Amino acid sequence: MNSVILGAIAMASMVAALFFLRFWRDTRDRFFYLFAIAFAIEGLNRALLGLTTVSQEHEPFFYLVRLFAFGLILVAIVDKNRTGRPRSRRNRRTSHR
Amino acid sequence: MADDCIPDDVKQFILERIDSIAQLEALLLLRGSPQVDWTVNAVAKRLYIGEQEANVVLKRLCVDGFLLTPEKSLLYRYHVRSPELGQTVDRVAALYSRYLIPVTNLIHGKPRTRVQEFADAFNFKLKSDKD
Amino acid sequence: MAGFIIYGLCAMTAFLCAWLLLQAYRRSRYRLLLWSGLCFVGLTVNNMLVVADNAMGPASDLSTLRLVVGLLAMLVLLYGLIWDAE
Repeated sequence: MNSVILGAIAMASMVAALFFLRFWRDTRDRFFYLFAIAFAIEGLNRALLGLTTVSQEHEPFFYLVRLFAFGLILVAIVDKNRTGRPRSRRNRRTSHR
Repeated sequence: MADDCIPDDVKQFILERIDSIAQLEALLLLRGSPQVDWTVNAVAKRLYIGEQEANVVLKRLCVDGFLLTPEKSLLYRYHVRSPELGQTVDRVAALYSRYLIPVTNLIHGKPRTRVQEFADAFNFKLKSDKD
Repeated sequence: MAGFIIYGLCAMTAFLCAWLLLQAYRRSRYRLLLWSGLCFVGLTVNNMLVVADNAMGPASDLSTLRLVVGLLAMLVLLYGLIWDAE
């Protein structure tokens, strides 16, 4: 039962990652790229969890991978606040007045 | 220099709520005659846009609280959700008539899709004062 | 122990994301923000349940509940991405 749900979560995460990749392509905002990687890693993490027979979240490998994925989300947020919107034409226009 | 003529809160409002010139023109058109119920076709003709685009624009303005659809008909009428919103629209109208080019540039500078708002949600610097 | 801390951090990160997204939704009414915000609420609960599950010792097994919450969260996000991303 649990492996089925884990598989579904993994699939959903990969699809979400694909959507974020598309948003990155459309906006060129690397925020979406980082979210895409984070969700893809989480998807793979869940898939691997599903392949093991015992509930293994407290194995270091799995929680370190999750830490990395959520860490990427934090990096995306910090990066967004350091540089604002990296490729916005509007920002460039106002910055030299 | 030209961008300074638009106050920051109005700029924020335009960036968040107005996606296209057609949308702004439609809003101001209906605002100009608040007692009148407009059909999609009439708006499309006045603004020289397609009926489908007018439909999308009017629906969006309705969802955002600028218009209402009286008695579930297919008509639209100017009716803002709150007095503050009405005041902001009034300011936008005044600025647009005085500073057509800067307002137009501001709107055209926006990305084509709304999905950028997802990323912008995480930008603390873009938070407006009304929070 | 490290697991507790890390899943706790993940829960807090998810909570921060949920907070920011739902606040932004309140302002702009862009529906994708609502669905993704709710997704991160679910992920917050999901991570908290991992902590709780382990804190309650080997007798408890919240695994199915945790996973159902996680799946629901992702389904809500997918719904938003497909229908309301514009």
